[in-house]
Amino acid sequence: QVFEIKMDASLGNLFARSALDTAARSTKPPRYKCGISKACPEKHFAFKMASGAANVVGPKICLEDNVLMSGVKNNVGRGINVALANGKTGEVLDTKYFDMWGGDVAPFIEFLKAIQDGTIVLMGTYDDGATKLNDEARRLIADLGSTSITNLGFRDNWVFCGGKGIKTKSPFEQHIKNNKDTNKYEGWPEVVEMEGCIPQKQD
Amino acid sequence: MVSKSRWKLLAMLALVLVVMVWYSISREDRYIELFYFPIPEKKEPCLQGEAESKASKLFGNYSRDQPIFLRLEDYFWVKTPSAYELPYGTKGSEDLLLRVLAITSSSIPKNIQSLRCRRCVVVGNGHRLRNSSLGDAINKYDVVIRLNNAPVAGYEGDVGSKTTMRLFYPESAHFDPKVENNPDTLLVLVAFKAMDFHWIETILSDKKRVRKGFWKQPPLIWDVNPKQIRILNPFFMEIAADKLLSLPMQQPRKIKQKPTTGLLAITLALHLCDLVHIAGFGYPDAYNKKQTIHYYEQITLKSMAGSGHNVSQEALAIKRMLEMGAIKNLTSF
Repeated sequence: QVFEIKMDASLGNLFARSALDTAARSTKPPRYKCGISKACPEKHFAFKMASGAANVVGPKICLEDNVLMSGVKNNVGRGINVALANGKTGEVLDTKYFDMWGGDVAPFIEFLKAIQDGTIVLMGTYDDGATKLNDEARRLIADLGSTSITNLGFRDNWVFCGGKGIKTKSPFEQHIKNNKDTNKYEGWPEVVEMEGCIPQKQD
Repeated sequence: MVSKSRWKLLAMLALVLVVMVWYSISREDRYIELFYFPIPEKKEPCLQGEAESKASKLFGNYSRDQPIFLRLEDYFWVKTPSAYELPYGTKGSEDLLLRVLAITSSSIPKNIQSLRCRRCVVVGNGHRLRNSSLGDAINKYDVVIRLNNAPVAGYEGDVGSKTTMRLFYPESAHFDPKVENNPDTLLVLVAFKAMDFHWIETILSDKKRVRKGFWKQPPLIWDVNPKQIRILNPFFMEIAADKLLSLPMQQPRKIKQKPTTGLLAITLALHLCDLVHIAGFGYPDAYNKKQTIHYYEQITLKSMAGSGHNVSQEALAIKRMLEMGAIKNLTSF
């Protein structure tokens, strides 16, 4: 009699627990790397990035669930923010920002020329990423697969993901023009965001 | 005495006649069976690689290496040259294509990939499906491929309710992606021109819609999950045109013949599946001007004139594939 009662209780508990587990499991949304909306296929790196917002919030760059650059990390600044990663492994190689308003473009050009073949390049603007850009800098960024760099203007917002040795124009690029009639903030357009899956470079 | 013998003789003759007639009828039935493949009560044995060995006779051995759907990884770090422009290749449309590949998928679902033997049916839009009661049989296949805007809702008894893949292009996308498909249906874009990539990009990224460049206005609002979208490798359009229809790849501007989505779907199935059946193929005879061509709408052969498809040539290609056993037919042809 006592044994029977015990069994009933344990069975009830099992049932209740499994029901709860099922409910909990089914309602929890799946979480993908960098918080993107769908899982990346095999041999692809997940990335998500956002440009800066006006001159208040810095840009954010995440690759393979690793936040490479952000205001919280205190490694972003006015101008063009750049993160480099190994195209085969996804490991971060370098992060830097170059002031394109009050700074000099020469160090930026040297930096661009030194990028190794097979490197993933992620770029995002903050405040103003265009004033000091010259034709050479624009051409070097175009060679990384960018299309919009040729007409990036004062206080535009722009995010881009390409590669050194890319064989095509990169599809990973978003650009919003600074336009006082459509701007979201006084003097700046709204934030531009982008996410996706970068193919891993194969040998 | 003589009278009795005569009656016996007549009776024997009658019996012989009956036997002959019965035999003749049964032979006819058997003959008809050659073209009307019986609905499989018990599943036909599925021989792994069977469709492949037959397809290699049609297309050559090399064609199994091509991916079914275009992949971003084939363009980003490496050069994948394409000899032809759309619809036979991606030459000149790469920039537009890559923006679509960046926001869609290219994988074949695991539940299909993992099958030891893939049993497929290509459901055409043909009038022979009307009142065919093939719905249950169609739903039993591993992969069900449908074409363009052919409806499912309301026709389940004849055409089934399962849809693994649907081939479409912008002008034929006038269907509700949610209602006429399953949640996991792959919506496979067949691009005939670069504008087709542009259209799907504007839909998925909710950009300003394009209106020019289509022979029929595609949908401006299309509620679809980007995960369901695939881009068909135009290689299959190339070999359907070249190997099945013997069409020249570079055609004079005036004449622009190309395979139908149906023939393209059969070509695709022969590269994806181990067993390929078709249903609802075949157009009405040319003299039968009033017969509708689809199971769901009231248009006749007249509307096919100027469509860029040679339906007679396609019928011959399908018959050839039926005769060599590469495909089998669930409806008459």
